[in-house]
Amino acid sequence: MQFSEDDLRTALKPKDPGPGFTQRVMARVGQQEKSAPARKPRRAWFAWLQPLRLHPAMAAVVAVLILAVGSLIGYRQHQERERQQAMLAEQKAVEALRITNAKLNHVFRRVRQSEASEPKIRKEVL
Amino acid sequence: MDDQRQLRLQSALARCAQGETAAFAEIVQAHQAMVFSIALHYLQDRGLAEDLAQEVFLELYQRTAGIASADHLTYWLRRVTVNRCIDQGRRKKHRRETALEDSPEPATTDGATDPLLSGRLRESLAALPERHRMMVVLRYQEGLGPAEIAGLLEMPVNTVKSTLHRTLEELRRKLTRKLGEVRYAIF
Repeated sequence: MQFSEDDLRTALKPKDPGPGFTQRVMARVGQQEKSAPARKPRRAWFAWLQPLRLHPAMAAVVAVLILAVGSLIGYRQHQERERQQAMLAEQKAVEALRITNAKLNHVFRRVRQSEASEPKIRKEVL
Repeated sequence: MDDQRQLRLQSALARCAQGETAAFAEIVQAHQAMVFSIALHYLQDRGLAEDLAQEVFLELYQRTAGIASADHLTYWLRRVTVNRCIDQGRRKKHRRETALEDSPEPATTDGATDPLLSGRLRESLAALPERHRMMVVLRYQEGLGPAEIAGLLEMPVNTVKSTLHRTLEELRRKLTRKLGEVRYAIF
């Protein structure tokens, strides 16, 4: 048996679920609302996002701006960390030089002392 | 979809996102025939189709804030309905005996069409494999092109084209066989 595509369209014509369907859905929505915690008002938090959803180009620009600002902040933080590390290293180097200086002074004093006492001993031995 | 209807739906969506339930009722009314009919033609069970359609709208109610436009809404509804239908079909294999004949047929057929042929077509459709049946419903109920169907069913466009072609042949064969049986019974 032959049939046309129009016959198929007719056979599959959209049918209304009948009177009261919307009311039944809304009744179930009402039940769901009662049983679930109240739906958070979205407008306060998400209203500003609505234009972005509608304009992908605007969303892309905003995303690029956010990335740029984020990168700048990250770079600044990195620089600050490096500066602090450099200062710490400088302090450590100064401290190391101070200790070395004290040690050298101590050694120098001992050498001077031993030089001063050594000729006497030599004379006594000879 | 005409511009006025699109604007009305756009406004209903915006109001619904702000928590206005009357706006949601407007959205349901505008799409209930589409959602219900996809489910009815696929599941061939009026009760199941109504339950499924209600579930789809309940899910929509939870997600209205994520719907950007009227077109997005239609696409979302079709996609969720298709997925739920396929899930439902897998859970329960329906038999043709519980098909459309059991349910009162709303008066949508016009005088120029053969109600017997329409009935036979729906019966034959019920015997098709799941995905093939959904393709036919989306093609001839919703008037979607192969690319749109491929998007909804997540398959290549060429597969949709060839499957639709083969499915129509299969429907023709089934219908011819049925008619032969009827003739045999009469004579």
